[in-house]
Amino acid sequence: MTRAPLLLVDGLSVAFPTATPVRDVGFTVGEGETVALVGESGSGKSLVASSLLRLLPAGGRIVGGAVRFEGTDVTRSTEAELTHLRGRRIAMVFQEPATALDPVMTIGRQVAEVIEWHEGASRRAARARAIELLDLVRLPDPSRRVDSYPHELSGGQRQRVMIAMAIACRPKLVVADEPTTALDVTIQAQVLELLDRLRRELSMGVLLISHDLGVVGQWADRVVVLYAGRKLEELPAERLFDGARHPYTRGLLAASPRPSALGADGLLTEIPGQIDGADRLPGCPFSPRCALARPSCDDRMPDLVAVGPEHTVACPVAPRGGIADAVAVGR
Amino acid sequence: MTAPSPSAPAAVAETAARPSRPTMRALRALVGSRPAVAGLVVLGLVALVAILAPFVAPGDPLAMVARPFVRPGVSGAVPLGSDALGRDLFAGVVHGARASLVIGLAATVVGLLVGTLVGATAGYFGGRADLVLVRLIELFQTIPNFVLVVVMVAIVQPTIVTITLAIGIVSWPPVARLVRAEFRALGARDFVLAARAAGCGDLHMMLREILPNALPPVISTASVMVASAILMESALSFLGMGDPNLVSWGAMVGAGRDSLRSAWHVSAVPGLAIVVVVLALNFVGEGLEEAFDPRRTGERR
Repeated sequence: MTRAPLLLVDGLSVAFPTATPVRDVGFTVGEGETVALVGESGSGKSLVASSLLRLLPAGGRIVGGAVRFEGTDVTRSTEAELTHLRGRRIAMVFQEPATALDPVMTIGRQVAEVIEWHEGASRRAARARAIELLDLVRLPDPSRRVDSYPHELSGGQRQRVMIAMAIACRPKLVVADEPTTALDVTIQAQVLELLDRLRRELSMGVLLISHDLGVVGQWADRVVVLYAGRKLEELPAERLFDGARHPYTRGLLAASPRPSALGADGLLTEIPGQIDGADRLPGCPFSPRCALARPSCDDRMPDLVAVGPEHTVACPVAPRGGIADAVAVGR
Repeated sequence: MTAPSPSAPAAVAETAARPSRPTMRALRALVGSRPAVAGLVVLGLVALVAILAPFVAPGDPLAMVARPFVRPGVSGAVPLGSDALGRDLFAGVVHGARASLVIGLAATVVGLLVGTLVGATAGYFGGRADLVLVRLIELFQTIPNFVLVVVMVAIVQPTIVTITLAIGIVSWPPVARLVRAEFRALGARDFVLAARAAGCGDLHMMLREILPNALPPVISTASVMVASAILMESALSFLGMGDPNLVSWGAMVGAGRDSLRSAWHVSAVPGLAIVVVVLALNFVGEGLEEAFDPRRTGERR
């Protein structure tokens, strides 16, 4: 714990002209560690991811905080420094492999170009490396497939190509933005397994963005829970299912389709209300939907308090106890 | 990942089908369209005749070789007849094909280059650059094309180069609009973001990632641009503002204007050549448009 982490996000805020969808978010990713960012649609998890490479959508700006990667503050980097960073030190895997690959370029060229671009490799050498990489991500018959176009591959194979592109220059950090959401469940497991194997072999840090708690609990080391742009809880992944404290995290767990999540009426539990507009609240963004909310929750955002090893919660009323109680919270 | 992936057998089956470039598929679709094939054949023949003009019709096409106003099919020496000065109309049409095709193609290249450059810059960078360039495009579009060409050619000497440039300069705005729209749409696509996340620079993104995807509509527009450039050159020559040392179809039509009632064939023969070539180009353009249409080829772009 004495070494500086690979990635340190501290007090990050992202603003658009009409909203501030990410407020004061902080977390770390260590070398060879998988950290998951969890939250529902609109929680700002993808914005946090794109902030790391300064690829925010038009109009978005980082208005506060720092993103330190290997000691440099990315928020202050010049465009030239960013070009050096992107793809080479930090790589990204996108959600939709069908659209994230160029439809009119062979997959081999797409992988090779990253290598040519960053390492100045010759066309021939880059092609050979591309074939190696496609083999590394277990694309069948890589020496022939290297000349395929994206539409000739299945979804899982395309995601393997995306991963090959991402690891082409042996980055220290891979940001995987919902890498398996567009895939079948069986393919999901293979792709996550692949990412995990590469993480170990190349000792990369992985920032896994997901809304699937099952995936997160299985593959991540630590979990950061976001809601409406605020960090509500951070805890070790193995404690996620029985040690989560925040009412929102518990609500999410209770709403996951598992036998224990069924209520007395046999229906899946849901969290009442919706996330819309919660990013404008001065206090805890979850309080309008929280069964345990007190009036004081709306006054100011509760501080993150350490409640266990590597476990912090931003909720003064967070209950203790197992997941069984979470069902009651979700009701 | 010790077990082989279950998708492997399917993948092998897929590889059995021969890999197809998207452009190759479009070409196959093009060959399937009858008007487009007819257009391509006609254009190929015209191009061949133009290239071989000195052999097909030896000698100076402006030389007086027969009696004036010989009707087509009367004399073997001048199969398509002769004009008011006794010049061979066949030789004129053959040599005129050179001027028409060269000016048509070169002006289109100029228009495509300028249009793509302006459109790509505006669409890719957006913001202030976009605002300024769109105003420039609109400025050019408010001026009637042909009038601008006439003015430009009237100011400078009418030579093949100036005429080409003038036509090119009026034909870039539609290309710029098209390319700008494509760049805007494609710039928001995931694969462009992915390329940016991989650290690619602006020029690489524009040339390697976006441009190849933006080309199909530009290519089909290009063939129609050649047609309109040929028409514009013909109109210019018809008005007597063409290159006087150049045989051109438009100039021939213009020369026959005075004798239209007594010897209509003098205008009709080169006029027919213009119609055939322009129609062929339009057929090809339409065929290309259909070939690149994702709804037809079943490909989602």
